[in-house]
Amino acid sequence: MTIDLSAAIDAACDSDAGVPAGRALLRFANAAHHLEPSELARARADLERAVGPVGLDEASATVAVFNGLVRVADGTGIEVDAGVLADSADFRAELGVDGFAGAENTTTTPVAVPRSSVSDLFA
Amino acid sequence: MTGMDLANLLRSAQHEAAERLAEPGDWLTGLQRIAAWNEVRDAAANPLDEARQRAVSPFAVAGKHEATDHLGSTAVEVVHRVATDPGRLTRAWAERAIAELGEETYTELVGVTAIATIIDRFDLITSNSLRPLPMPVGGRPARIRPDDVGDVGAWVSQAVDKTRANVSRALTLVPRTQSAWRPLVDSHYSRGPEFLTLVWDRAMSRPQVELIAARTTALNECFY
Repeated sequence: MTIDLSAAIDAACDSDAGVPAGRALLRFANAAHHLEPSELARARADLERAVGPVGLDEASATVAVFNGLVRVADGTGIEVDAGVLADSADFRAELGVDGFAGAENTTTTPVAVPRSSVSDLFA
Repeated sequence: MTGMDLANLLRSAQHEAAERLAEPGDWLTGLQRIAAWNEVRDAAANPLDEARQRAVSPFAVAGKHEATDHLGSTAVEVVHRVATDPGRLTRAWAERAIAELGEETYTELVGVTAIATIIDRFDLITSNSLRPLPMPVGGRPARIRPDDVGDVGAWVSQAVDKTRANVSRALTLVPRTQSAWRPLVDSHYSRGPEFLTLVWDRAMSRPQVELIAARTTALNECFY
């Protein structure tokens, strides 16, 4: 699977980003961010058709928890984990993520680590 | 996991977190924690917060939030800024708040704001309504600073030992708040050891979950 990261993070981009049901997922994420009732109702219905009612609950939980995670991360000024920093350097710059204000919180030198599992990214 | 299982998992975790927010915390009373949750809700339609969000810089907008019956003005400012504009917080801003509040109280306010945001956002997404705030429980805060925290490069002290992602130890300075926070994250996203696998046995695949996470994070302009 090849995922279009620029589509994933560009709120104006209306594509599937290379992920099954991606268009409905991204429209839902936008609607759940803005909370405009009619837009959200449409996005919920479209996503439920695409991934089912349990998938809709998973999507709702994901949006909710990441709204908390970003507040803890940015409110406490944590650094990006060194492994993630090393692994994401190329596309962070390309996507403009390095321009986010929170980028200033990370002064760690990226450490390239051999990856055998997800946990290695956070070592 | 069936639909009923997932719904029960999420509702149970949200209920537990809400109950814990109502209890005396680390450096804030239950009354103050619920007052902070109330400020999270006020921030959603607060004219000053809206003006700051529209501005090129939130610091360009004159005015500040006033103290309430249970929270000082700086505490109210912290809750409103973290709730409405987390991507543009700065170390200098946090250091001023920490100088007034202490890093423990500052961290607890961040945690309470995040927990309240998760619960309220889920409710708004799924039902377009908010649950009643829980009744505060009396009693004193723990006022215990853990021994194993220190400077790990963040704005506030955190557990020195790193066993998982940095965000998982972000609230370790305030153990009661951390204990309300972690189960909420685990139930809504990471689910124990499954987090470390690339293939998830859920109604949505991991790429689908991470796609929503990436868009949500980008909409909040979060670098982490």
